[in-house]
Amino acid sequence: MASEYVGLIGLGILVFLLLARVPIGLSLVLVSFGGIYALIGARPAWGMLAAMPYDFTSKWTLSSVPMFLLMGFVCYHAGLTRGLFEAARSWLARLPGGLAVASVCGSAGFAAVTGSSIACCAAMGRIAIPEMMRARYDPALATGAIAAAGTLGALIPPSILLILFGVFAEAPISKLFIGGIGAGVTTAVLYIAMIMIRASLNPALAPRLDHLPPMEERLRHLRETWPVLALLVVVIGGMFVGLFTATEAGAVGALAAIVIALAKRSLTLGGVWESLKETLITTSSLFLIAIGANLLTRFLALSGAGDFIADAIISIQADQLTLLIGVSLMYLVLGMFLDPLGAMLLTLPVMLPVLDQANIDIIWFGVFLAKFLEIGMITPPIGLNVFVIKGVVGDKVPLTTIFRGIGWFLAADFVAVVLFIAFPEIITWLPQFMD
Amino acid sequence: AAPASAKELRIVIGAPGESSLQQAMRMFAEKIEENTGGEYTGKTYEGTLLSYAESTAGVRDGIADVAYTVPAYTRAEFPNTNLVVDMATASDDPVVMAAASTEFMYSCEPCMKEYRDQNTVFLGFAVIGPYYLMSVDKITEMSDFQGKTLRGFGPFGRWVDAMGATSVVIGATDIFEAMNQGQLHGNTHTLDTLKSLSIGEVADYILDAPIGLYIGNAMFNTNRDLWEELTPEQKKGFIMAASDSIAWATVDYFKVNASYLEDPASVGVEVVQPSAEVAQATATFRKADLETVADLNVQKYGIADAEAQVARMKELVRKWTEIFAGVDTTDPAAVQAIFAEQLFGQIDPSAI
Amino acid sequence: MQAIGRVLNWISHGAAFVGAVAVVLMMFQIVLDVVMRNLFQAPVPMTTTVVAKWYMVACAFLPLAMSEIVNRHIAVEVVFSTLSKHRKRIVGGFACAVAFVVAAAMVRPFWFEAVKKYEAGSFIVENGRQLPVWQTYFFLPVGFALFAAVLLYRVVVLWTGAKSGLGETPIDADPEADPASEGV
Ligand code: NA
Ligand code: NA
Repeated sequence: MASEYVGLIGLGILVFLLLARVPIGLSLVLVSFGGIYALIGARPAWGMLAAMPYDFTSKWTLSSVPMFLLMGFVCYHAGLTRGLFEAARSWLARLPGGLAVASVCGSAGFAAVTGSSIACCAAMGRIAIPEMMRARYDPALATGAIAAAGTLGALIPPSILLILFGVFAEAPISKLFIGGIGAGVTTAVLYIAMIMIRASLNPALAPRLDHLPPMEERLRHLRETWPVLALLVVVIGGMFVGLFTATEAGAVGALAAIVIALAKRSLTLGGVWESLKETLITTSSLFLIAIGANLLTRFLALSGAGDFIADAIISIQADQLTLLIGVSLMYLVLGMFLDPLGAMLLTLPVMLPVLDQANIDIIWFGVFLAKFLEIGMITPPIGLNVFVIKGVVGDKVPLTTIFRGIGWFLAADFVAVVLFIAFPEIITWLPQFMD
Repeated sequence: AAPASAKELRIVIGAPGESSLQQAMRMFAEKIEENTGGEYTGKTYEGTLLSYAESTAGVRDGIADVAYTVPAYTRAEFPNTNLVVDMATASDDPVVMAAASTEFMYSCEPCMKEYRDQNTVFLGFAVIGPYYLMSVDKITEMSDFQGKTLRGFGPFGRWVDAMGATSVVIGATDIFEAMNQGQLHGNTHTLDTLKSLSIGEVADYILDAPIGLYIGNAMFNTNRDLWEELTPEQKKGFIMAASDSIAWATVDYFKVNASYLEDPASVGVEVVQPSAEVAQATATFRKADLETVADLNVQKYGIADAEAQVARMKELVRKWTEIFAGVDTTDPAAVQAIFAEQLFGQIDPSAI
Repeated sequence: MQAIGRVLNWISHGAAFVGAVAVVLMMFQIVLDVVMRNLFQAPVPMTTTVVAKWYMVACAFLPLAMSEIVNRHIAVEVVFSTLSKHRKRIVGGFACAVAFVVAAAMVRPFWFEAVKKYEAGSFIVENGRQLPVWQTYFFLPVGFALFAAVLLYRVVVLWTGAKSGLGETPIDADPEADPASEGV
């Protein structure tokens, strides 16, 4: 059997296992293992299974995931964020979908200090979603907004994805970063516009206060925002001043949240244990899926997916626009199943010479690629951002509801991608001043 | 054309890119096809199949047939090999060092056994470097090092400490952000990282004081089950493919690095000369570090005769310095010819 | 049956507790490193390595079984949620059975890898300091063995209708009961 078919059959079995409710992580592991076994034999397959999970997990940069999760859970269990959202609610009472808009802005601000979209989701998820739910927001909108806004984490600099692209493609990282600003801000603006339009058309999605609360009450709410503001000053300020890195910021944030909660006397020992337990549950289930998704990349690499893609791309001997549409579709499909790094590694060796030939600006493409890889973080069936959100909301919101909420944000992303292709200056305008 | 029975090998390197190392992996794939009359062909997997950290176990289990492995990741399994890797300051000529360290390995029975025990076959070291300090602020005097945090592992970290700065170890892809944010004031690395890791965008100075070489690039580590099924002629073919590719990679990597030293402005940096004091301290460090390495290996890694091994390496460096005297070591063909005749050509395929 | 469940529950939470200790230590050590580095230019040695090799591995793999007990391994419910309560037990049991086979099959290679690392005495070297890491390879077989045991127990409970002693979130619990409740 041709190895490409093994790859396709593997994806078919994967979809069956997922629909049968087999845990996503173990489904991915099973299909990848079976595929590697079929392609190159038992010993390599067992060997891959034995060594890869440890090496994948034992990375310093990944430590920001449990740390930001812990920060979010502590904030939730100690009620630190309530004041901020009460304030946002009363001050933004007139704004359609005010809390969701505020959450997207919060994610964009957080994105300016963290390099990872998962860390961004982990930090914002537990802070913002329960508050939106309390305000009777549609669960799909509340969860979708945070999962999608998390992708800003890898577009607005710093960005781990853009750093890796820069390293692999030997492109200047600082230009990629500056280019990412245009893409990130455009995305955020489109998200906000989409939320406001939907909330105006259907106010039930995001119930508004029927009256603007009196100034006195609004000022009182403003004063109660201090715990989160203090936390943000410590975490964001510390990173800007250069006291610690984005990876370390999670640990600083978690400890700062605990200290603030203790000062407020709003955190019990039980609350600490609950926060830790939630952190562990989300971390372990998320890493299992990430390991599975990473194994899947290797299975697909072995099945010749790289060559398949190369042939497909080279066969598009057309104008730049057709090429870009083809490339976009390819990344959309890859992003459904693969983790962003896997999709990047699988395609870069193919894409770099193609870009050169088609005269496509490398900075523009790096940011464009990051955008598509981030779209992959929120598309079914394997969307890591969505799984982070699923982890923090627990069994209260079904996965399908979150993906349903994502749908509208994907529509906004479609507009964003069209804009990037039609007006490449959105990305390339700022970096040109750096020469 | 390849015969019908051609076997396609999986040739793996842990990251994609266009550096001399990735190109050498592709060269090896072509050379084995040439040298085995098409019986064996190769397909390279660059960053998609195994990470650097997984590659040793990956060759052992046959996930890769041939892979670029880094013994430093698995010091416990490769104590003797890592002693060789430690001797970074024994020379500052990568070509000499590639030959000396490879000859050392083939004449070091415990080293070869380490590869056998992992179900693999060692096919030579490529050497990259030298390592230089690339820094945000101008560092030329001993006092400039005070209070600086500089990245450096192993011997390069020891040099940083010896100069009075603080050494830290961080991952390659974190360097840019750490320097950008000001937590890291400099990086000791090969000069191609000015472009490949964008260090040139955050650093402004190269200190023209070569610190040492990075030896531990076991480029064509081969699965032993595969090796056993090769005929003696095919084994020879693999060895000579490694010979040509390692010679080429070492020469080309050095050439690329030298070009940055000649035209630092192209990556936005300036080359600065060390003060007499810094130059002297670096020379002293380089000499003393071989003794430090011997001591460390006796005390920590249980290699009783480490001192004798260091002496042997010095002798081999002298030998190969003489051999390459008068040879243009920037010419890949010239180096390939010497490697083929005097180094890899001398290896008995049945003995490794 | 219930007694087995209670013991499993207890051991799974014990393993998760070790993971919790790792999370707490990770937080304190990273912050201490930041403080020491900024105030005294004396970073805590090997922080990145201890975090990566010890704390991360412990907190990612040891809580796997506990996550299963609270039914929080992420799965696709789109078809499942349309099934009747009876069919949910049958299909849910099948899903747990497949998951059990995979998790159990992973224990063996993890165990042998860990034994290899133990025999070699694996360690990480950083600027002259050494950190043993072979111990951490054992977190994987332990975490997955417990995970597999819980999955097997759930298969038995779902298919026989026996009373569970895990105190777990039942597989046929209605997830959409009250999405806007305080517990979200
Ligand atoms: Na960011
Ligand atoms: Na996806």
